[in-house]
Formats: sequence, structure tokens, C-alpha cells
Amino acid sequence: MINRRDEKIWKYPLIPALLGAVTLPLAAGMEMPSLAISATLLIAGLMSGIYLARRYEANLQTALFEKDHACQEQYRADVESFFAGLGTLESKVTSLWVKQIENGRSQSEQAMIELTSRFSGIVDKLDEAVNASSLSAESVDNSAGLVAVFARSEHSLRAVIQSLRDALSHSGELLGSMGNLVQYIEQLKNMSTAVSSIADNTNLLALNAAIEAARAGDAGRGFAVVADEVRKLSTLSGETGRQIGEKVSIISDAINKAFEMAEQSAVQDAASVTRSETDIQTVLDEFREVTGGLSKAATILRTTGTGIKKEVGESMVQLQFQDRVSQILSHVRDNINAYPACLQEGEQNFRKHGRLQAIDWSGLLRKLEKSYATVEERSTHAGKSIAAKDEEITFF
Amino acid sequence: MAKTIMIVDDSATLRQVVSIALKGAGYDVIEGCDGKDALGKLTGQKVHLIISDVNMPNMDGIAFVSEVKKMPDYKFTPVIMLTTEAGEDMKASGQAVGAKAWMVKPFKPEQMLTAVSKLILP
Repeated sequence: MINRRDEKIWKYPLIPALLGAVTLPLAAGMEMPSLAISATLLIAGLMSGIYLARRYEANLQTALFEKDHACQEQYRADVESFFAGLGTLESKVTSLWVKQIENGRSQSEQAMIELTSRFSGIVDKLDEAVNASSLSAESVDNSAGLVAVFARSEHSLRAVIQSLRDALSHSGELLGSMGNLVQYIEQLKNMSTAVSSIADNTNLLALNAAIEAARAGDAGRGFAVVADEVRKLSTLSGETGRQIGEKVSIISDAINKAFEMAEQSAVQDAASVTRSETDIQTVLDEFREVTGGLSKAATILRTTGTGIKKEVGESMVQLQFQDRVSQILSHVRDNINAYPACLQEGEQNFRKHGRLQAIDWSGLLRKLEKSYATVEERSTHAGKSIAAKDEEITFF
Repeated sequence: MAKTIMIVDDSATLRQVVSIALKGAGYDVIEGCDGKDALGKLTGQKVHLIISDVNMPNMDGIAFVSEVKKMPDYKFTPVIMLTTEAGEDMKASGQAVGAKAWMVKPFKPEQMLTAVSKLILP
């Protein structure tokens, strides 16, 4: 252990020797012996001083050497410790970085696969729905569909209404014919009345003829017989006329009753036809509303389905980001994996040359740059802003 | 009969996205996860068009297309490269091995379907 105070140790023998060498001749006179002693003292002091100075220098050198050696030992130990730390960096830290990056990358990839799979399922189900809606729309619209059935049904129902109207018209004609019959009956009544009237007049004429025959006596006897027969015939004719009148009356009553009933029936039939027509029209309107609604719903479903498919198609573009993210993370991961090798190169250099050298990172950077597969990576590496670019396709 | 298209990409997400677009347009789809896997699956198949990524493990897209073009059954089968790479030198290497088109990810499904319908063998 060297003391800094010992740096001037040479002056401890030199100063007393110098004082002795000066004071002795002055005190003892400038005689030869005292001068010789002074010279001897001076030389002894100088020699002692030189000796002590050299010894100090030697001790100093030894101390410095020992310190330097200790420093070197400490330095080597520190570097060894540093490289041992780098070993930990390689075995634990960088491998953990890599694992975490890979973990994140694989998790996002897995999630994206799941998401894409779900999208795929949605697209399939959407296809089914759109196809089904197209089929139902076709089944509503085509020749075998609801609209056609509706049109045919409407046509048939209108034919039924027309038939009912025709039937109503025919019953009107029948009613007209019955009205004519009533007129004929009236004529028959008049004719029976006329027959009775003729019979009465004939009877009166026969009676007058019988009176005239009686006046004629025997000459009129034959005529009286004729007149009597004529009177009998007129009575019979009158009776027949009356009976005809009665029968015509009965027939007239029956026909009038039938006519009234026919008239009432015609009114009821007309009301029924009108009601049927209204009912049929209501049914047709409701049916038209239903088929129209179905057709409209099918069209909306088809249009919406196509729109959703387009949206899903657009989202497919966005889902591809995972591929880019995965590539970027993979490149960083691989570069981190290569990082310990760079440090090992530094360690080897130290062991070979015994001194630490600056690690050359350019190889690692070149490796990273070479791994790039996207424009964004290269732009980021070059410190440029990432320019958005449209998708492109080149045909050769 | 539906035409068959092979999609080769190490990203399962991309394979699914491409499959959805192609199946939606009525194509049958075969998937390969890298060039080596795809080469194995081509044998004994009738594939009308191939869509391949470029950067893949085991065998990259350029080497894969180069091998495909050596197969007598697939010498004239059109290939579309689908990749994030947009550099002219990379495109030139794709063209050199016989690719017919170079499409940069992300792609729009309708854009890809247009290219497919333009290139697919009858």
C-alpha cells in the first residue's frame, strides 16, 4: 500500500545533511576536516535521498502495477459477467420476446381464422337465404306461382259471377214471360166473360124464339123445340163459360202468386249475386295484397342479401390485414432471434483479441431489411411515411 | 362442371378469404400451405388455375411455380402470384418463371375474380 505523503520522502535525509554540511564549516571553521565531513554529510544525504526517492518510485510502480492488474482482473470479470448477462438475455429475455411476439401473432392468426370461418359461414347461409328467396320469389312470380294461381282464380271467379249474372238475366226473361202469361190469362178471363155474355144473349134470344113459336101455334111447335134446345145450349154455354172463368181465375191466382214469388226470388238472386261479387272482390283484393306482399318481401330479401354479400366481400379485404401483421411480426421475431448471434460475435472477438469491440449491427439490419415483404416495412425502415396504395394487378 | 383453382399461401386467413371469394363464384378450391405441400397435392388432380403467395416457408412461390411449369400436366396452367411484394424486380422474377399475373395484397374479391375469369383455362 503506497502513501501519497511518501512522495517527498527523499527530503527527510537530504535536508538535515544539507543543514549539517552548511553549518559545520561555519561552526568549526573552514578547515579541511570540517569541509570533508560536510561534503561526506552532503553526499550521504543526497545518496539517502536518492535511495528513498527510488524506493518510493519502485513502490509506486509496484503499487500501480498491482492496481492495474487488479483493474484488469476486475475488467475481465466485469466483461465475463456482461457476457454471462448476455447469455441470460439470449436464453431468457430474447427468447421471451420471441415467444411473446409469436404468441400474439399466433393468437391474432387463430382469431382471424375463426373470424374468417364465421364470415364463410355467414356467406354460405346468406347464399342459402338468397337462393331460397329467389326460389320463393320465382314461385310467387312464375307461371306455376302464386301470382299466376291468383290470376287464374280471379278469372274463374269472375266467370262464376258472369254465370250468376247470366242466370239472373235468364230468370228476368222468365219473369217477363210470366208477365205475358198473366196478360193472356186476363184475355182468357175476358173471353170466358164474353162466352157467358153470348150465352146469356143466346138464352134471351131462345126465350124470344120460344114466345114467338108459341104465338105461331102448331106451325111454331117445331121451332119451339129448336128454341128450347138453343136455350138449353145457351144455358150450357153460360155454365161452361162460368166454369172457364172460375178455372182461369184459379190459374190466374196461381200464376200471380208464382210471378210474385219469382219477382221476390229475382230480387234476392240479384242481391245474392251483388253480395257474392263483393265477397269475391274482397277475397281477391286480400289475396292480391298477400301475394303482392310475398313478392315484395322476396324481392327485399334478395336485394338485402345481395347487399350484405357485397359488404362481406368488402370486409374480406380488411380481413387480409392479419396476413400483413403476421408477416411483419414474423420478420421482427426472426430478427430478434438473430440478435444473440451478433452479441456472441462480440464475445468471440473479446476472447480472441482481449478487448471489447463495437458490435457491428449492420448485418442484423441488412438481414431484417432482406426479410421485408411489404412496402410498409421498407418505408418504415427507411424512415419514410407509409403511403396508402390501391390494390394493383399486373398482367404479364 | 365447376373449374378447380388451387390457392397456395402460408396464411390460413388468406387461404380462407380467397376460398370464400372463389367458392362464392362457383369454383372448387384446393388449398396448399406452402410450395412443397401444394406440389404434393397437384399430382393426380385437375387444376385449372393456381394462385400462389411468394414468401412462404419450405418452398417459396417463385420456386413452386418454377417446379409446376416442369410438370407436363401443368405446363400451360395459368398462375397468379398473390403477394404483399410490389417491387418490379420481384414481379420480373415471377414473370420469368411463367406467372401470368401479379396481384398485390390486400386484394378486392371482384378484382381477383375478374383476373381469374380472364386467365382460367376453358
